[in-house]
Amino acid sequence: MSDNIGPRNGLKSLVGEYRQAGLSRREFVKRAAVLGLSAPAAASLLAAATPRLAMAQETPQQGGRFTEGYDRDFTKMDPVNSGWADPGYNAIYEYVMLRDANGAIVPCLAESWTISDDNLSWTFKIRDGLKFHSGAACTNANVVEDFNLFRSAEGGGQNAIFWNAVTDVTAGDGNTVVVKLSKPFAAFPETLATEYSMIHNQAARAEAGDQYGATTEDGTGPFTLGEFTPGNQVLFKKWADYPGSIVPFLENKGPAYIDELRFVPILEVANRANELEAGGVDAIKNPAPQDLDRLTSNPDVVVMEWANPANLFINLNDQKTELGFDDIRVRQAISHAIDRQGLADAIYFGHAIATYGPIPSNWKWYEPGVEQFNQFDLEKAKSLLEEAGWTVGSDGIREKNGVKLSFTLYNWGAQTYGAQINEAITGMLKDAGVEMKLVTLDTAELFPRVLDPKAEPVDAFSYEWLWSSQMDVLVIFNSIPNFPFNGDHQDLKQAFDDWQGAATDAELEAAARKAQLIWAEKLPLIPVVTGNVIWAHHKKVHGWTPTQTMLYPLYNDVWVEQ
Amino acid sequence: MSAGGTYELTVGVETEVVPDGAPGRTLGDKLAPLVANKLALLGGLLTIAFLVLGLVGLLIVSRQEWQHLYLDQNVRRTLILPFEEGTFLGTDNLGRSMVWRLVAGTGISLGAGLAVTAISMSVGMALGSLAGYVGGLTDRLISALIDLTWGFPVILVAVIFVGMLEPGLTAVILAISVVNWAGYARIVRAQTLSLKGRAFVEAARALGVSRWKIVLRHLIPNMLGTTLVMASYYIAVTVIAEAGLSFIGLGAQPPTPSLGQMVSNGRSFLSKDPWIVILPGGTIALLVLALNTLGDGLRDIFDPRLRRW
Amino acid sequence: MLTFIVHRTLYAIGLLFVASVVIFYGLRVAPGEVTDVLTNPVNRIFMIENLREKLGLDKPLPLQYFIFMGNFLRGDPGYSLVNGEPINELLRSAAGYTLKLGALSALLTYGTAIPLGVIAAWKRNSFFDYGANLLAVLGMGIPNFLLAILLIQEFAVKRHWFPVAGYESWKHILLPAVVLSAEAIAINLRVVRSSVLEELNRDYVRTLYAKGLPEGKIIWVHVLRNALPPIIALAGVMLRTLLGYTLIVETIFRWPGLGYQLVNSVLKRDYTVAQTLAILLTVAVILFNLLADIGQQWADPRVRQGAKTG
Repeated sequence: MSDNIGPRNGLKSLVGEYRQAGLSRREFVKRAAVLGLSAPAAASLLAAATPRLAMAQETPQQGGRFTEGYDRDFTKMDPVNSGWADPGYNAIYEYVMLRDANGAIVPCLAESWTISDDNLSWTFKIRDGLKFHSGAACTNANVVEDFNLFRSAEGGGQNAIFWNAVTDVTAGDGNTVVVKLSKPFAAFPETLATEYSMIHNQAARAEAGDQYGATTEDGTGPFTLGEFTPGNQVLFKKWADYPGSIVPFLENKGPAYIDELRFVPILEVANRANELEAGGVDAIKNPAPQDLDRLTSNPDVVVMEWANPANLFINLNDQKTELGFDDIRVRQAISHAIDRQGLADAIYFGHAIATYGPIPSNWKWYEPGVEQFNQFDLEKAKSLLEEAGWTVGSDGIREKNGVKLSFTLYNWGAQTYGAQINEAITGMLKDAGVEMKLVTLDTAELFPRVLDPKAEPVDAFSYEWLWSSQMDVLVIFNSIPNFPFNGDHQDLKQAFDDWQGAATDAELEAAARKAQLIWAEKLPLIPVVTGNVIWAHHKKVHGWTPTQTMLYPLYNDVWVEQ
Repeated sequence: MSAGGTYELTVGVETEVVPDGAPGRTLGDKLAPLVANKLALLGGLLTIAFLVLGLVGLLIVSRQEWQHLYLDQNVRRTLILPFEEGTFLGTDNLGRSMVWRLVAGTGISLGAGLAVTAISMSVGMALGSLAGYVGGLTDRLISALIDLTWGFPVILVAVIFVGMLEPGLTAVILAISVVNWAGYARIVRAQTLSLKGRAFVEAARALGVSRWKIVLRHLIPNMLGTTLVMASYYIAVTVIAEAGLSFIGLGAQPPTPSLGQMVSNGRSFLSKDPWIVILPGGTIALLVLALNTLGDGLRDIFDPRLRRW
Repeated sequence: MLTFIVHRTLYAIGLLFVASVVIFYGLRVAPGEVTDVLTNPVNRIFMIENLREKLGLDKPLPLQYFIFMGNFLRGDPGYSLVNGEPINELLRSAAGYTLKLGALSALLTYGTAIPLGVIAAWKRNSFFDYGANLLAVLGMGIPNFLLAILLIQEFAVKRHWFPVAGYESWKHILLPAVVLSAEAIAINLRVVRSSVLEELNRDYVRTLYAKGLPEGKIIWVHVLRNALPPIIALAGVMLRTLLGYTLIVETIFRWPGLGYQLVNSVLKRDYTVAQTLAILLTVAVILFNLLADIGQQWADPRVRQGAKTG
C-alpha cells in the first residue's frame, strides 16, 4: 500500500547515489539522518554499500556561484506581504527557531527559550550582537515589533490567525522577548518555523513600502539581495559580516562559503532535468518524475526525494445538498471510487504517496489508522451511493429525486499535476456513475470564485496546500469563515481546539492523531495524493541538504567544487 | 492603411482576385487545374480524409454512448507502445486509447477551426463589404475598428474571454475569431472597392439593381475564391493557435482532447515516451500540410493570372 | 506625402487612445483579482478589503484609468502589484532581450524567406519549390513549443551544440530565435513566393526580358523590389503574432523578455504591469503599421510617380 513512503525510497536512492556519485561519508551520514536513520546505522549501511569507494573531497572551498533551478516564479521576499514564500527567504532571513531533519525544534536567532509552569508565558532569549544587513542592530525590540506585526491581521500579518492564542508580546530584560498567551500553545514553534515568521527590520520595511522584498530587504541571513528580476532570476551576494549561525545541524559557523547564490525559475517541467544535465544549473527542484530514471542513472547527479509537506484535496461543497455532498455516504463513496495508488503510479510514476488521511505518511505524528478508510473499492462506492438513494439512470449517471450526480470541479491551475490528477479522477468517478466536469483556473480567478461569500457557490474545487506546519494548515482551513466546504464536525473542531491549546508534545500528538482519524472518516475535504518533492544536484555541489521538515534548504553550508 | 487598396493582403493570400466572370464554364472546367496540379489534388484528398476523420471525431464526442471510446482510462495500463498489447496506436499516460483520442482530437480541432472560420468570415464579410461598398464615414469607422483589432495579441483577448466565460473551446473560438475577422474584413473591403468600379457592377447599378442585391449577387460570389483560400488558412491557424493557448492552460479542458492539448500535455514525455507527443504533433503537421496545399491549389484556380505562368 | 504622414499619425494616436481604454476595461471586466494572488486563501477574508484599498482598486474605474494613464504618460507606470518590481526596471531589463531576440528572428525570417521564396517562385513546380513549400508547412504545422523541445532534445541534450536554456552567451539566443522565426519564415516564404509569381506575370517583366537584361538581375532587382509591398504590409501582422507567442519561447528557453511578463501579469491580474505592457505592445504594433503604411506608399511605384507628377 504505502510502498512509496519517502524514507524507504529515500534510503534506497541514497545508497544508490553513494555508489554512483561518490557522496562524501559525512554527507551520507547527514542525509541518512534526514531520513531518520541514526549515525551508527548509517555507518553500517555505508560499510555494506561500497567500502572501497574513494571518498569525495570534504574540505569546503570558498567562492564561486551556486545556481538553483526553482520550479516556480518568484514573489517578493517579504515575509508579511506576499502570497507565497520562495527558497530565497532562507538566504536573507533567519528563523527565530526551526525544525531539524527529524522535525525537532532547534535554536536559530533565539538561542534558548523557557515556558512558564502554567504554559501561558514564553520567554525567548535572542542572540546578542546580531545585526541586520543595513548595519542596524537586531535585538529583542525588533523581534517584538515583528511578532506584533505577524499577529495583527489589520496590520497585514498574513498568518495572524496562527497567533490567536497570543495576547501580548513585550521586550524583557537581557535581550529577551516575552510572549503572553490566553491558553497553552505547544504548537507555537510550528508557526515560528515558517517563512512567514522570519525576522526582518521593520524600519527598512516601512521605508520601502510595497517594494520591500523586491528592491530592498533587511534581514539577518548569510546573503544579501543582489538582483531580483521576477520570471528571470534572483541573485544573492555573500554577506561578509554575517556573524555565523548557531543552528546545530549546520557545519559552517561563519559567513557563507559561496560568493553568489542564484535562483532561476525553470517553469517548463520537461526542461528541468535537461538543464541540470547540460550544466546550466547546479541543482534543481522537481524534475518531471518520468525523467528520474535517467537522472538517477547519471553518475554526475545526486537525487533526493520524499513526500512533500503537502496534500492534494478534493473539496465538495456540502451546501450543495441537492448533490448529496452533505451526506457522508456520498463523500465516502466518491473517495472509495478514487484509485489513489493508481494515480501515484500513473501520474507520478510512483514518486508520490497515496493519502488516506489529511497528512502524508512521512510526518512525525502520522496516524496509520487512517488507512482503514478511503481505500480504492469501487463496489463499496457503488453500494454506498445506492444506500444514499442515488440510482443509476439510463445514461449511466446516478440520479436522485430527478437530480443527476453531475458536478463541476474547479482545479487550481498553479498545482503542476492537479489537472492530470483530476482528469484521471473524472474517469474513475465515471465508473461509479458520478459525472465530474473539470475546469482549471488560475489563482487570481479561482479564489474569488470559491471563497467570496458573494460569489455563486461552486460545486467542488481542488486545492493542494504546501505548508511545513501540516496540522496548522488543517486547523486554519477549517476555521475560514463562510467557507462552504468544511461541514460541521464538532468532534473534529474539538480535536483542533485540543491541538491549539495543547501544553505538551504528547498532547499535540494525541490531538493530531485524533484529528487525522476523524478527518479520514468524515472527509470534510477528500485527501487524494501527495507528490514527492524531488531535489537533484550535480555531485560537485556539497552541503545542499534539503530536509523533509522544512520547505527549502539553508544555504550556509553550500559550496561548489571549482 | 486603407489607402493603397492594391496590397491589402494578409498572411499569404493575394487579394486582387480577378472575378471569374466568363460564363459557360462548367464545374469540370474549373476543377481541371486542381486535378492537373497533383500536389493540390493530394492536399484536397488529404483534407477530405481529415474532414471525414474529424466528422467521426465530432460524432463520438457529441454522443454520450460513444464517449467511452476516447475517455475510458486504465491507470494500470499506461503508456503502451503502438501496436503492442492489442492496441493500435498504444495508450496515453492515463491508459486511454491513443487512436480514439486522435480521432476525437482531430474532430475538436477541426471543429474549432471551422467555427472560427465561419465566425470571422461572416463578420469580416459583412463589415468588409459594408465598408467597401458604402464608403464614407461607415468605411472610416469600420477601418478604424479593423486597425484597432489588428493591434491586440490573441493571448490577451483569450485571457479576457476565458475570464468572462470559462476556460474551454468556446472561449478559444471567440478569442481567435475576435482577432481574426479583421484580416478577412480588410481583404473583403479592398476587393469590394476594386470590384465596385468594374464594368459589370457599374452596369447593374445603371440598371437600377439595389445596393444589397449587387453586394449579394455580384460582389460576394466574386470573392468566393479568396474566401476558400482564406478558410483553408484560417482553419490551420486556429489549430495552431489553440495549441498555443493549451500551452498556457487556456485551450480545450481535459478530458476533452484537442490535438493541441494532446501535444501540450505530452510534451514532457518527449524524451521517454515520444509517441505520446509525436502522434498528435504529426497529425497537426499533416493537417496543416493538407489545408495549405489545398489552399494553394484553390488560389491557382481562382486566380487566372497565376495560371498563365 | 507630408499631409499623408500627419493624417496617419493623428489617426494612430486616436487608435491608441481607444486601445488603452479597451485594454484597461478588458482587464478589469475579466473576473479575477490580483488581491487573491497576494493573500493566502485562508487569510483572504481578513485581508482583501484592506488590500483593495491599499492598491487603490476600490476607486471608481474611470478614476483608476486616469490615474494610471497619468502615471504612464509621465513615464512612471509604478510597480508590479504582485512582486513589487518597479515596472521601469522590468522594462529596462526585459525590453533589451526582447529586441535582441526579435531582431535576430527578423533577420532569420527575412534572410531565409526572401531568397527561398524568390527562388521557389522563379523555379516554380521544381523540387526546390516543393522543398520550400514543405519547409513552410513544417514551420507552420509544428506547434512552436513542440519544435522548441525537439530542438533542445536534439541539439542541446544529445549533441551539446547549444545550451538548453538561459541568456548568458550568444549561443543561448540561437535556438529560441530559430523557434520564434519558424512560423514567420513559413508565412513569409509563401507570401514572397506568391507576390513574386504575380510580378513575374506583369508586362514590364516581359519587356525587361525582351531588352535582354540578365535573368538574375530581372528577378533579384526589379521583380523583388516590386514584390516587396505585401511583405512589408505583412510585417505589422507578424509583429503582433510574434509578440503574442514569444511567451512560449521565453518560458521554455528562460529568455528574460517581455512576452512572459505580459502573459504572466495578465493571468495574475497584475494590473499595472499588464496594462503597461499591453499598451506598449499595441503602441508598437500601431506604430509599426504606421511606418509600414508610409513605407508602402513610398515603395509603391504608382504612388511615387503620382507624387512626382502631382
